[in-house]
Amino acid sequence: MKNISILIMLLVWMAPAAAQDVVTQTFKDSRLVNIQSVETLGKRRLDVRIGHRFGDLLGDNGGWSTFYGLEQASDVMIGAAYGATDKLTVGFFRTKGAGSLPNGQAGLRQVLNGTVKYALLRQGAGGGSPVSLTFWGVATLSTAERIPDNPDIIRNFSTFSHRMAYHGQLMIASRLSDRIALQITPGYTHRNVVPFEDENGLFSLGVGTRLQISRVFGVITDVTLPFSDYRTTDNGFYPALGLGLEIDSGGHLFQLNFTNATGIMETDFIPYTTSNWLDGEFRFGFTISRLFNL
Amino acid sequence: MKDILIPFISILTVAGALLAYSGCTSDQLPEPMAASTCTDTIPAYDPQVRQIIEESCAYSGCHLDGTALGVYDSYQGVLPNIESGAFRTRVLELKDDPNQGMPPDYAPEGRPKDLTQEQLDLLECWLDSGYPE
Repeated sequence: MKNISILIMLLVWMAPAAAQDVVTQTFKDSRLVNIQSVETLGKRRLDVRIGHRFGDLLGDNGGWSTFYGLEQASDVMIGAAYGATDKLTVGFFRTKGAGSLPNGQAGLRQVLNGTVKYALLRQGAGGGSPVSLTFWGVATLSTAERIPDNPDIIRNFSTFSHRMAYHGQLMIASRLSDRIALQITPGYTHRNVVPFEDENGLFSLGVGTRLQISRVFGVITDVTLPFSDYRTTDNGFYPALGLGLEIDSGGHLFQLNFTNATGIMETDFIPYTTSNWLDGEFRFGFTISRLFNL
Repeated sequence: MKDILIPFISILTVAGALLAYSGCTSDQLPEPMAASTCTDTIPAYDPQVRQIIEESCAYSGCHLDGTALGVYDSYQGVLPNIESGAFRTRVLELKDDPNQGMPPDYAPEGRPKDLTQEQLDLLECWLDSGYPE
């Protein structure tokens, strides 16, 4: 832990020296399919964002009866992020909450998410740092009504703190060429209350890529693997795997995606992805982002 | 611009205050026990509860096409009414009410107008045991 702290301080100290000539857009957007990207907003830029995940495309809960998931909403996100400085972005998002354990135990629902993102280091263009490094943190608060009669479920909320979960991650990314970008994302998720025999703290590793295929279109992929003896496929958990198409129309950015994750925020999809691509339990989703200069 | 920023920053401030207030805990829910209403093992949604729901609730004109609140074509579809307590109230507590009790007395021909005692016991055990999927 001490070594990590020293490394972070060193990278922050190096940042001004490397800020002379930097790669300005490793990724087109502040988010890939499920995971965040290293991108922060410019100073005084407001990003208003709507994200949606439909129901299972196929499998037992998909197919014709739900019109391939389009009649169901797994998760819906609406909110905004604001560039306080070129390096610091703060945000506030409301999500429905969607993740569940394999036994049906629901995670946090009707949630408010406060977010902070800080660019620690930028990749140099033609020298300097080979990578960009950004911190991302989210605090999640469930506003769902208590169910006091059932002490076995999360929504019993016997104390206020049980409504909360947190996630922090470092994003290390590099634009490998004009068309290809790669990011790895070690993270830590903490839930204040968990079901019996579950873990409050959870380390994870995300990997994301972006391939620019034309001026307008880009293909993005990401996968997030929790490090846990409990979160195995035998126990009904699966890595969150996303595949998406970005469409840049100028002021708007549209993203169409497919993912097995039901929840949108990190405090939801990292501990609670129990859907399996191979069983048809993946869903169509989209994100619309509009940037404003304030 | 200030008109936009002030509410935005206020919301963030409130969120920060909530964070500071709630703090960080590492609690675990108790081990789920078979409820006292269970006589055997705890049933799961699939297949025991799903079979009851498909026969008695999830059909056209009721909890399938949006006519009644909740689309009971999956566990996720039933979950909101379970978590709100509406399912328990309407199926178990108001079961003798001809209109409020579910299934209702006006259920169409060929659909049950009442659940059997065995089905009611199974649903009560399932709900009391944390309604596993």
